Amino acid sequence: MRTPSRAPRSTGEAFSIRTVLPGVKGECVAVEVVLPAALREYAKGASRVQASGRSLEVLLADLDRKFPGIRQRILADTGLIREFVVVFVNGDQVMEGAPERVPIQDGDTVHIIPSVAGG
Amino acid sequence: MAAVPRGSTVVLVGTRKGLYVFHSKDRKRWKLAGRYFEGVPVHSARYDPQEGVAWAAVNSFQWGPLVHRSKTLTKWTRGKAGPAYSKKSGWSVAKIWNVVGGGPAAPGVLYAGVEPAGLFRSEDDGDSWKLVDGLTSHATRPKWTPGNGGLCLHTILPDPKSAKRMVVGISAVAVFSTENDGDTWKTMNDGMTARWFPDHKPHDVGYCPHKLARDPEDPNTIYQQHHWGVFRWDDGRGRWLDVSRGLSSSFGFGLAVGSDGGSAYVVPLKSDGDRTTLGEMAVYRTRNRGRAWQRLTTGLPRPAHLTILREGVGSDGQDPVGVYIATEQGQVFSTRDGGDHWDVIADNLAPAMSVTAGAYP
Repeated sequence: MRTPSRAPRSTGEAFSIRTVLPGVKGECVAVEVVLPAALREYAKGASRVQASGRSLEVLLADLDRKFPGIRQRILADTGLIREFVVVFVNGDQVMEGAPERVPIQDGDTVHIIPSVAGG
Repeated sequence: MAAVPRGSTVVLVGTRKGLYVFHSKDRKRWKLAGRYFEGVPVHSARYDPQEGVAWAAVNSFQWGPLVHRSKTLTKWTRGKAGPAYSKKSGWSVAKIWNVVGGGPAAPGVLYAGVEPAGLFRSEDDGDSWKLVDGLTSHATRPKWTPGNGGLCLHTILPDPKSAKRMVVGISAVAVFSTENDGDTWKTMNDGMTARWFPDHKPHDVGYCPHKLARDPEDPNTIYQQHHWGVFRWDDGRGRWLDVSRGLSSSFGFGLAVGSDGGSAYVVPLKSDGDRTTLGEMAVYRTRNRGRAWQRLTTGLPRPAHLTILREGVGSDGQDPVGVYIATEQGQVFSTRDGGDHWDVIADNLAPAMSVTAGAYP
């Protein structure tokens, strides 16, 4: 399941996971991105890579510059996080599908994982 | 992974859990070269001898669709980017249903049919894609609706004599054709029966072409397995002709043509409520453009309630033609004498969605 039972995405209810900021600028920050096994081939097998960006959108664009094609595996054509992909920032699940509205800070750790969806 | 010897016939079976590649020198004894993309649905894969490359439509439900390619059929390389709609369209490519080379008239060109329905073109072997937007901007687009398999562009038939002409099939919409390299398209509905519409009158869209195949000797002739019937299109006539008479059921998905003009193969299934063979596995063959059908069962199982999906019938273009049928139950049946006798290439595979075959020169 992608959505925690305590707070459906659509309600907009405040909860303790990563909050959303409007119009976050994409300045340079150092972030560690932890890749799932399925995407490590893009990074020559590395499970942890460095990227930068003050929003998830900018971060993924930077990741794509370093590892071409990886952004399309994480985001749908609409620009939203794919339905069965989950992103965590410092252990908090990103509940906002629009990555430009997800703030990233210097020193954050971003995990990209496939959702537990199989039955 | 064992290498695929040159001079073989190869059979590529796309399944819900990866791609299987078989090869044979005599089309009697088959060897498995390997299984690729384990656990990931492969909606179709084909080797194109003209281009010397195989392409596979690999559709991860988590990471999205991507075309992979291979010259050896054992080592696969992913394309740099998959076909993608623009952000403003609001659509996102969910699956690639088919990947087809441009053929003799358009060497070096690759087409992908996707869901939601659209056609993409690549000129760099699948590393980048451009939408053929003349099709998705067709006036009927707001009325396009999905069939049970989704709103998919599943069949791509480039014209071997003209790079500007092409026919595509979209479920559950219509057959479309272009004569100006995709700039504009028109529906090919003339002659289609319309008894499923409430008013029993022809409509512009709402048809359900399950599969199309072009006659190898007369490219102006196209066969169609429709939801309700098997049809033949002749350019000279400019309309579909129902050639279902003699089949045990007008319903089915897969369709392939033989190597000689006028021959085609279908596997009738029992209605859209059941979608299984009618108690036994039986293939129907025509050698006279659908005027008559022969029921072929020698070597095929009975009783059998098997499902053959829209990409589940393929032929290898050789003489006599080899025909291959992959089932959702994981079998692959083959004939090397045009259908008189059938064997089993493989059993207990993952559920099969597609099969293609051809020479690996």
